Amino acid sequence: MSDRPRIRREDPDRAAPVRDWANLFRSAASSSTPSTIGSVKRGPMDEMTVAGAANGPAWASNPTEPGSISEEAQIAIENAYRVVDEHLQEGRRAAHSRRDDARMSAPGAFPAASANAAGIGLTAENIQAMVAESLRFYSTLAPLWTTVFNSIATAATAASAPDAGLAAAPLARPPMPGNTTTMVAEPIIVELASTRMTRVTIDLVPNVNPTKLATSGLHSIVPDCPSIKDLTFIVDSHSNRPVVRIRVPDDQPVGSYNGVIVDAASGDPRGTIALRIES
Amino acid sequence: MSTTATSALVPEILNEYGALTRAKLREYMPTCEPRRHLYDLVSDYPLRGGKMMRPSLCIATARAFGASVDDALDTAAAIELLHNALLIHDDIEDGSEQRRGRPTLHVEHGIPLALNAGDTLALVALRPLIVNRNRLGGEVAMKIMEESERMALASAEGQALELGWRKDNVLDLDEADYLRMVLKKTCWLATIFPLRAGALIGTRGAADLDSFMRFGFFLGATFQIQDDLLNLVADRKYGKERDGDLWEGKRTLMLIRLFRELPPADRDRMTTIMLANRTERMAEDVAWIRAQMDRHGCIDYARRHAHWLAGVALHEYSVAFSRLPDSRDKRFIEQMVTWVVERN
Repeated sequence: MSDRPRIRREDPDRAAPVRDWANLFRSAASSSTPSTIGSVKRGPMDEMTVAGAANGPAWASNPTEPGSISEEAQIAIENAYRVVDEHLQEGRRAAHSRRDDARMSAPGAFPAASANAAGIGLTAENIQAMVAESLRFYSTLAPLWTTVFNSIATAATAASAPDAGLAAAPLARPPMPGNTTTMVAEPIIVELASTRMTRVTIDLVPNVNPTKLATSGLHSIVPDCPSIKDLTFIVDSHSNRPVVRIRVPDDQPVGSYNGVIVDAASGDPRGTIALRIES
Repeated sequence: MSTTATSALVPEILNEYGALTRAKLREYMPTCEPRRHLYDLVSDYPLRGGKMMRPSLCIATARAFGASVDDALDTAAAIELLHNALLIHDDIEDGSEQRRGRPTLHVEHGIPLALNAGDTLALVALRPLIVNRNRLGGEVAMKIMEESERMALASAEGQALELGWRKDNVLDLDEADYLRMVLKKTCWLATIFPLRAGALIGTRGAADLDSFMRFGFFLGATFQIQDDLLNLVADRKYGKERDGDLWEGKRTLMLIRLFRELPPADRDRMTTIMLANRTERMAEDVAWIRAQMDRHGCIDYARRHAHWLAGVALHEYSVAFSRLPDSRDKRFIEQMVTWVVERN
C-alpha cells in the first residue's frame, strides 16, 4: 500500500451529505464562501450501482436518463429514517421529563445515541448503502422492476468482453426537493470491469478539464489490503465528458476503497472516488 | 440470503415457537367462572390460530443472544395475549366482520361483551410479565414491563392517529404521516417490542435497544404494507374480507397515494365517498376506489415501497445482529424480512 498520506474526511456532524468538493478542499482562510461542511448545499454527484454480472464491460457507453427509481427509493428511505429517528428522540425526551434516574443510569435502558439516533448525520455513504441494499433486495423479488432498472442503468452499452463485470453509465441525480443548488452539468462516465457486486460513487467538481484528470488509485484503511490501481481517465469522443475506467481484480478483498481525483498538472484535488466491493 | 431457504426455516420456526407459546398462554387462561360471558370469549382469539410472528421474534432474538426458550416463553405468551386483546378492540373500532376466517368476536357476541373480553385479555397478559421476575430477576423483568408499557401506549396512540384521520376524513396525508402512524400502531407490538424484549432477555438487560427499534420499524412497516396489499389482492385464505380495508376507510399507503395522484374532480369524489361510514358506503363506490388504485399504480407503488423498506430492514438487521454468532434463530430473524414480503 502507498505510504503517501491519504486525505481523510471525518464524518461531519451535519444534517445532510456534503456535495461541494470545491469548498471542502479549500482552506478556511481562502474560502470566500462558508465551508460546506455542515451545509446542505449539493454539488455534482454521480452514482452507479453495478450488478457485477458476468457480462462484458462496455468501454463505450452512452449517457442515460436520470434513474427515477433510485431517487424515489432514496426519498422513501430518508423519510423512513427521519420518522424512526424522531421517535427515538421522543422516547429520550419522555424519559428525561419523567426524571427516572434509575432508568437513565441502567445499562441498556436508554443507551448512548448511535450514529443515526438523532435523525441527522445520515452520511452520503449510509444513504447509498441503504439504497443499494434495498435495490438489491427489490431486484431479487421484483423481476419486472429489475428489468426496468437495469435497462436504465445499462442503457445503450456497446461491446462486451468475457469474464468482466457489467459497466453502467452513471445516474446523474437531480437536486432533492427544497435544496437550492446547481445541477451538475456533465457527469463523469464510469466504465467498470468487475466480476463482483461493486458500487462506485464519484464526486467531481463541475467544469473540470477532462484531459487532465489522474488518481493514485483507490485505497483501503485496512492494513496490508492491496489498493486498486487499474484506473485510467480518458475523454469520451462523442460528448467530451471525462471517462474513468476501473478494473477490479477478481481477488480484491471485499470492502471500501477510496481515492482522490486530481488535476494531473497541478495536483490539485478535483474530486473523490469511493468504491465498495459488496461480495 | 437465499429466498429458497426462507420457505423452509421461517414456517418451521413459526410452528415450533408458536406451539410452545400457545401451550404457555393456555396456562394463564382463567378456567373459573364466569365462562359463558367472559372467559370463553377471552380464550377465543388466542386459540383461533395465527402466524405467531410476534412471540417467535421474541424467542428467536433471546436465543440469538444465548438465552433459552424458557427464558423468553412467558414474555412471548404476554405478547400474544396482548396482541389478541388489541385485535378484539381493533375489530370493534374498524367494524370488521371477519377475523382469521370466522366472524369477529363482537359480531358473534355483541360489542359490550366483546369489549369486556378484550379488556380482560389485556389484564391477563400482565401475569406472565410479572412471573418473569422469577426467572429473569426483578431488574430485567421491570425493564420488560416498562417496554411493554411504552409499547401499549404507542399502539394506542397509533390507533388514535388512524381513527382520528377517519373520523375527521383526513385524506391529504403523505408517506411520512403513514409511517409515523404505522410505527406506533403496528410496529411497536408486531416487531419492535418482541425484538427489544428478546434482546433484554438474552443480554439480561444490557442490550443497546436503539438498533432494534430501527430494525423493528423497517420490518414492521414492511409487514404492514404487505398486510394492506394482501387485503386488496389476496384470496379467502387470507382470513379477512377482501377489500375490507376500503370498506373501513383505512388509511393505507395505497389510499394515501391515490388521493395525491387523483385529479381534483376525482379527489372530490373520493373525499365524499370516504366521508360515509362503513354501513353507508356503497359497493360501487368501493369498487371505484379500487379501480382507481389500479389505474394510478397505487398497488405497485406500495409494493415497491415495501421492497425498499425490506431492503433497509436487512441493513438494520446486520447492524443489530451482525456481531452475534451464526445460529438457526439468527437466520430465522434475517429471513423474516423476506417472509413478510413473500407471504400470502
